[in-house]
Amino acid sequence: MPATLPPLLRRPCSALALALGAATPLPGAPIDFAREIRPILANRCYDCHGDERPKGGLQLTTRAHALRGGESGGPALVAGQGAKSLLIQRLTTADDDDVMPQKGERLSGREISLLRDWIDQGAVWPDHVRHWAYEKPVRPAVPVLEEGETEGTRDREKVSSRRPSVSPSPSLVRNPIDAFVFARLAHEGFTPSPATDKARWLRRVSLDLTGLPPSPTDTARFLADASDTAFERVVDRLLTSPHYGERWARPWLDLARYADSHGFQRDDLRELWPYRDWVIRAMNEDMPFDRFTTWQIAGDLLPEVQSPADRLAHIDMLIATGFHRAAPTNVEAGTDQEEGRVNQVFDRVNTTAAVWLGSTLECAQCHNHKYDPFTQKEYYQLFAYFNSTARETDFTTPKAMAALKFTGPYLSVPDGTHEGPKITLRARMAKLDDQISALTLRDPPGLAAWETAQLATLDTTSQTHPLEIANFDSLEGSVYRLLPDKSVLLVDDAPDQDTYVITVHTKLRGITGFKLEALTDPSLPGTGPGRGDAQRPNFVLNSFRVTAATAGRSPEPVKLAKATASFSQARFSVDNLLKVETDNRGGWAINPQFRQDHWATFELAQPLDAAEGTTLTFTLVQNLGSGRTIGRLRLNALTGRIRATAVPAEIAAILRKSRAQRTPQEQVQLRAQFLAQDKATAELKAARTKLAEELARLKDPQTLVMQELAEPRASSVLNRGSFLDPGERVEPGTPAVLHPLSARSAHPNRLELARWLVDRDNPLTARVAVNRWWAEFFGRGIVSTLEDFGVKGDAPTHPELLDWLAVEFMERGWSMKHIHKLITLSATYRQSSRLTPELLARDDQNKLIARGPRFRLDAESIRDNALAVAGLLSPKLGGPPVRPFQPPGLWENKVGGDRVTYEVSTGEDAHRRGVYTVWKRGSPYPSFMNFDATSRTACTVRRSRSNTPLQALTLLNDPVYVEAAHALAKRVRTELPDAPDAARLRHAFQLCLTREPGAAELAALAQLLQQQRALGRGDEAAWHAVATALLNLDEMISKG
Amino acid sequence: MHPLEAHYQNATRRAFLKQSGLGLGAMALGSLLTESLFAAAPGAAGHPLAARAPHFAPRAKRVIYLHMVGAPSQLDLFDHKPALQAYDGKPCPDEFIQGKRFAFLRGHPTIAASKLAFRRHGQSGAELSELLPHLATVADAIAIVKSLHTDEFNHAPAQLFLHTGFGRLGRPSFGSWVTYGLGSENSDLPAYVVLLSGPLAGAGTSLWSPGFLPSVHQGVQFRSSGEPVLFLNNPEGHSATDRRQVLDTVRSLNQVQLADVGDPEIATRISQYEMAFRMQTSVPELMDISKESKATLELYGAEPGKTSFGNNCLLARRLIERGVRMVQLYDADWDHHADLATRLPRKCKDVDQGMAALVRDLKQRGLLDDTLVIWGGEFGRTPMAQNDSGSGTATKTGRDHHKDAFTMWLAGGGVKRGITFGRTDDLGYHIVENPVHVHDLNATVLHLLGLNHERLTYRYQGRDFRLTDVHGKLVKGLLA
Repeated sequence: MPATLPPLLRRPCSALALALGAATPLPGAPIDFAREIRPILANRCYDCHGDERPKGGLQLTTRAHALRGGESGGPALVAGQGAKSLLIQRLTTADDDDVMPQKGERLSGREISLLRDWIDQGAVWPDHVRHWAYEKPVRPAVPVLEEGETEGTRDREKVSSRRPSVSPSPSLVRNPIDAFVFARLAHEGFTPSPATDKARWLRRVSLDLTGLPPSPTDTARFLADASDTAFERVVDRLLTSPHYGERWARPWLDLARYADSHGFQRDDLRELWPYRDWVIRAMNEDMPFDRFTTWQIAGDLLPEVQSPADRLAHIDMLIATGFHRAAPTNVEAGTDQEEGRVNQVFDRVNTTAAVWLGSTLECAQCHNHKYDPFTQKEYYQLFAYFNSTARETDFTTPKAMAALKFTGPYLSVPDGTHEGPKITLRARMAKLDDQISALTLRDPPGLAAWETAQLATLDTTSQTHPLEIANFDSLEGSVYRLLPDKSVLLVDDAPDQDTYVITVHTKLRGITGFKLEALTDPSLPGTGPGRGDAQRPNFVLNSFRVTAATAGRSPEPVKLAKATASFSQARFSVDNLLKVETDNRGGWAINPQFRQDHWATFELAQPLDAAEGTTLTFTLVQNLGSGRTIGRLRLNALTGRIRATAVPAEIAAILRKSRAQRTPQEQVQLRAQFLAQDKATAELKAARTKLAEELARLKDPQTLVMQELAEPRASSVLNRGSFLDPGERVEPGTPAVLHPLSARSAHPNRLELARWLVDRDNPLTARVAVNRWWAEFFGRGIVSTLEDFGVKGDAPTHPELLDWLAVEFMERGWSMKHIHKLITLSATYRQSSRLTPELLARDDQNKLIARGPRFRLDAESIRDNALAVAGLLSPKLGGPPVRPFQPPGLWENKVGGDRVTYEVSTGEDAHRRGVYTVWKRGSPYPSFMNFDATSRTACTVRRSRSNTPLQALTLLNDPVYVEAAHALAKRVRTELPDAPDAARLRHAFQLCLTREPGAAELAALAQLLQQQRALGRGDEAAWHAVATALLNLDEMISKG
Repeated sequence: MHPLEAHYQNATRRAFLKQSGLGLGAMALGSLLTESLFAAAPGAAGHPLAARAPHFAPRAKRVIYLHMVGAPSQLDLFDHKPALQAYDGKPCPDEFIQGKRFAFLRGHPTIAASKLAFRRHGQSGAELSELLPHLATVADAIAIVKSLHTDEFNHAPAQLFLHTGFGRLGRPSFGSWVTYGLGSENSDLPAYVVLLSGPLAGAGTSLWSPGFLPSVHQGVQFRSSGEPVLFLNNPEGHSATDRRQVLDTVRSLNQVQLADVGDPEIATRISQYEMAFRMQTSVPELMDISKESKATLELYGAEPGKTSFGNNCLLARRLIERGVRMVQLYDADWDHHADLATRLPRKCKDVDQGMAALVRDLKQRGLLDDTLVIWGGEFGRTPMAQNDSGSGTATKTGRDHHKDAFTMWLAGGGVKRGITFGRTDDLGYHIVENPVHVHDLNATVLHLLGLNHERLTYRYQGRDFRLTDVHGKLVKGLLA
């Protein structure tokens, strides 16, 4: 065994002591420019003094530039004389106008003294400093720890160590992760924390790998297993659980900004969930990350799916490309479609760079990157890879040059389960169709009797006369179209409320009534007749007023005496329209008889009979809100005696002819008139409608995919990022600072880019991926800026561990589960998370990992965990998004877009895992948002982790947690039917936290139980209070 | 106050725990975390919402932002253009449409003059249309800025641009930046409150989203019907006593845990539960305007129990009285592409009285000096008529979106009173004097709050972000 540490390990450690922030370099210790000085310059100076248009002519990017100085004259620094250097003077001056930096926070005292000391030491500034993250990782030697060694004392010349140094015993080391972490700890004079107890470890690892707590059986089995392999057995079980993929899809879906709606004003729902399910599947199968990458970036370009015959066999390759179709799409009317398309390409470039390269490229949209070595041209070379897909919006109708719809390639994902039911449904529909059409071909039974009855009353019954609309006015400015059948059709987005004012001129005499028809139309949501939404196209007519004016006289209100309707909804009788007083809630409505024509007739108290003609003005108030307005309507005047089933004048004429006198066409019209009121026919039609609806629900799921245009689009640098100002032409290409493309294809496309991303020579992809996982386990990355591996990002706390993991990842077939297994079985991970005063003082952020992780769970896990301990959680995997309960009205009260009522899922769908909750960008599930979930409007690498009163209110009062508390209380009482309180309390506590309660904890819960019983609301309520308290504990919503 | 307590209140939370931990041992932590130390969470240093010192002495401490969603027509309310009368109904001069992009206008549009009468008001002689009789009575207290311009010409992007400085989704809102910069002055209410009259704007809750800032900076929507804050009310059948018992148990169990594992987050969690409990009283008390005097209710045209812009204006005053930093009111339905003649008067009737009452009331109570009121929409409207829905169907005259010139007004908080700032050309199309870009407005408002917009930065995904991106200049002409 070597007596000293390999030099590899020792060198970075001395520098990292500074990165920890706790130690200050000893005077005289050489300061490393690349690790200590350049990050300060990059972070705090290059915004203004970089290579692009430097302020005051001063560039701080090379030593020569700094020595030359800027416009204020003289060099910025004098080597060897920190205090005399202009750089230090401007950082420390008391003059507010002069002090640097002019933007952002001032430099800390530590930063300034580092700069001063570095200049004092001669301002060593190498010409070519290659940033560590752009060098390919090489597997470092694993440090070997030796019993009794004290690294701190041995390395005395480099690191000040006043602390007692105790080396962790090599026997603690379970795998190479521990060797790296413990060697560093020893170097800093720390000892690792003791291992946490088994119960806590089990809860930690279960939440980490599956997002779910261990079941009581899991716990009992593990606690009883004293063998060496007990831990590994648990990890293997968790890694093969189907819930592993659900847990790990969550952060990936944040990166993919996966959501179920478009975003922006027309935030309509979209179908992309097969992509979400694919991510879960891929993670469960431990799909190698290189393949996982290639499919998402360019699955559509792989050779396997080029022939249509093979596409089905490799459909997952296509589904995976949903990654980049998840970008938000602006379909607000009036949007410039090309601008929208370019914005989506920007999103794709920026997201790709963040996810795989850990780099922020956005800056280079407008100008060369100020600190990282990416040029604007290189940005547009990456842009060119993504520039050759079709636009994803289109005009709703070719004539309408404003309203947009969402388009773009999609894929039907055959879902075998529907085939059988579909065949049955289609057969039943065909049978009904035959029956219905048979009725129209020959005279149906009952027609003759009906004719006789009609004819008998014909002379005394009313006739309808459609009225020609002279002027139609919508108070909300709704857009309309007059149709040849004299009806008026409302088009475009429905306003919330509306009032129609309709004017007609008629020469008709003896008007005894009016008939209002509310008609269906294919252009209306769900075919209408209401405009609100496709599921429930209802309308609520609050009032129907008519005035009549005869030549020269002012309009007089027309009194309506009686009303009849084709159908009135319960409590929304058409009679309401006869009331003098109306409000915005009552009136006439037709729920649930949607998707069919309706009518209402109004009998006049006095006939209107003006020889010179009449001008009628109808006012239809529809103020319920949510677009419950009529989408297509026709007004008719009635003459003669009013009856509810008044036949149109045209039909009356046919009735008057004998059967022989009628043309075949007339006979068909007559039959249609009869069938429209025939009860038997109506029943057949209703049955058919129901089947059609069922069939529609059985359609194969669809998902959005990428598809390359046949002819690639030419790409240019866009000056200042403006799509209106294209500059130099560019071809697809990758940044020069990174590894070269291994094989340049004749037709560079996304597949070339994907292969470059997962090239073994790519210095970033593997490091960036393992670092993100590390942060999921430990709460903090080895590079704490998960999203930025550039010069402004934080330096890694354990650079060699990072490289070792990255190489291990790639060499072990890019297996994510392999890395997760290493991490969770390490002694590092097994440490207790107890924060001692010493640890708090020396390393409050746990950069050195001298203790185990402890932090709040993410939004989805908090809910999943509560439902799981309550025994409510559904284990169902995959499928369309679900809608757990949320306070009513959140989706409905919104300008623009389809009106979608939030219908709460029922059955087990009310209690599915959070990953399946519908994600509507403009109105995300509020309970998750209160716990830092993202609205998924852009790629999110790292969620914030806040601690707010709204979180307390959510856990206390959100119905889902109230329900979980009830279920938990019930579970405890059912599972231990005759047990004493103490046993039940212990059981409840263990269900929630896995571990045994302490005496004080048990006492506190017992006291609550007694207090609650004293309130006299019964035992169930008392246990509900106990369950509520448990679900609200910090430990319950934390991993520790 | 106990000297120890005083000492700890000055320390940051983490520093406090470090010191006490070192000095007293971890077991003592739990007992130290008494209510007196942590109850007033946002007031306590180290809390993410602790009041923070501005960069320099502020003129305004609080903001009330009145956003007319959909964008009102400046040409019919503030920017009087008599010259348009001569062109009314005539084709628009070519130079105004060449190379321009519109949301809906196609072909060669015609000019539409305002049909409304304008008069001068107050000593300042501010010109206002007949639709704003109430605002006219406080004309001398406001600054009318006629030279706003923006980069976006569709609703959602322009709303985002105004409130987040970026026309796409994902950035922190103005209010979030303000609470990030200044923290909260209230320990019983959120620092940033949003009130709506009418449906949610096109950009949805993104308008008060914290973006990448910690989510304590998100705006909290207070509702005038149902629960005033989501999940505020105890579930049915749970009394305050019952709840208090549960909360006390949660607290004591959390304290046991804190003493055991020493994680400072647990201390914060304890204090947040106490704040949640206080909000259950403070929020309903705040929302109940029935105890306001009859005169006050009449001034605002407010009616207890109703949802209206007037009610929301009164609530805004009540919020800032209680030290809430940022209040935003969104009023819907100002997007008058069609039938402006009917719809604009109706909307003005909805807001005129309430917003004028707000200015008057704040002034009476001495709050206008350090409260800034901002009124406006996401862009302006064209001097050209829109008579077509964009679907080829005729509509009554309205106006299309216009990003190159629009009007906002500001009052109080260090803004000059009784001035009109900026000027547009005779058609009200281009700005000819003192242009104010949205970034300039935001830079200026931050300045009034004592914040340098270039210094208020947040590092995210490798970049220092600002509300004003890399733009924005202070509009000195607006400063009193």
